Amino acid sequence: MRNEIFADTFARRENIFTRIDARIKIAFIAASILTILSSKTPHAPFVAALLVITALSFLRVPFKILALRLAAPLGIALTLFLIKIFYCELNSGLLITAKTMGSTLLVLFLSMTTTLDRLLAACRWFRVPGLWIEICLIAYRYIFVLLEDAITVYDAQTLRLGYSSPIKAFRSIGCLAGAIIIRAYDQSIATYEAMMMRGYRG
Amino acid sequence: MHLSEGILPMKWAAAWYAVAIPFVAKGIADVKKKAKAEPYFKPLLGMMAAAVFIISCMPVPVPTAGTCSHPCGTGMSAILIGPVMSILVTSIALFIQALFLAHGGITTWGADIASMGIAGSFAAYFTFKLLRRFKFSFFASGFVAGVLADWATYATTSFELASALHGNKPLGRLFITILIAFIPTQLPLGILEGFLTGGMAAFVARRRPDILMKLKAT
Repeated sequence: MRNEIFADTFARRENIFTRIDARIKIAFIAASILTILSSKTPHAPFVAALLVITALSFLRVPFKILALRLAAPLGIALTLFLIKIFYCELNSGLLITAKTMGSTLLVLFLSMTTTLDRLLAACRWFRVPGLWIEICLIAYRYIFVLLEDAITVYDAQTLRLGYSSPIKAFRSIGCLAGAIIIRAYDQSIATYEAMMMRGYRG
Repeated sequence: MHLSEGILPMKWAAAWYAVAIPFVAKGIADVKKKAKAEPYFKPLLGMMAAAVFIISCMPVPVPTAGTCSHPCGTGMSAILIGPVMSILVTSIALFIQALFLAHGGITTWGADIASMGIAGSFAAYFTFKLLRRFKFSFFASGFVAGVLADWATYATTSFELASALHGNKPLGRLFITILIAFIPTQLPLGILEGFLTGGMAAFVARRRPDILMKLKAT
């Protein structure tokens, strides 16, 4: 489940949307988000949100995954809506909610139908600096490695009652952060050496 | 701090992009220079972006202000690799979070870099350097740097929200309202960030001082 939340698992499936060129998808999503942001009524954003939900259902993306990814923006959008109702600004509340949901779902649709490497290759075509893309790919690759390490250290700390009181928890969290940094540093040296052995010259 | 996708009107989203892009461009130029002398630096930045991603992807929603709250991790990266490269690292972490976690957004990417990357990194870096110059311990310097980085981030985000959404109401009033709305989560989270950053600095200084020496983070 953890990997499904973070990873581009759904983008690796074979279907009609994953086969479309990433550049076309980026252009389409960008144009749709700009339309949503400039919309004066909530109709267009709500229609976009519904279309994306329908498309993701067609792709058999589990509702639980979608709900988890949408939890924070959805909660915020609904509460902003309630606040606006309180201030008798129903239309404004509906508009902000619709814009947030519409544009968030469009971005999720992009990430659930395009792998990060294809997405970044398309970004390169749109003249995003190569160095930024290179570091981004390294970061994405090692998120999962560092996450596993962080979970291992956290579990070990928990078993040793490292989080049994607030003071111990504060101390443990600092050690956890330090362990992640040391691991990240050592891994960067190892990765560089491995890349150099395979012909990488920076 | 992450502003949700679609929260900012288009002109404000564009304005914050204009603020953030020069800093990211400067970071890229600096890395190009540094990587010539120290080729392992690019993988190191990738790892640092992954670390910032992990630390800053624990969202705590603050519905009254329309955002999420969480430790930033940028104070930690600014201390280790400097503020400008920390901004570059933050831009990458924010991009991946916006795509895969709906945490932040592509339209609010510029605003998120301005608050988390620029404000957070510079606040942490200068605080840490100043306190170390006065011979404060690694933990104390890191703690204050972490707290100030967190609070600087949230003050900037409050300003971003207030300036974009105040409409006909006075900007200052909405800014204060949003700041107050953040207090229940930000006060404790800032302190948590302080323990995280201070603990990290002390732990690395104790176990692997060579890393701090190599990165000139002493």
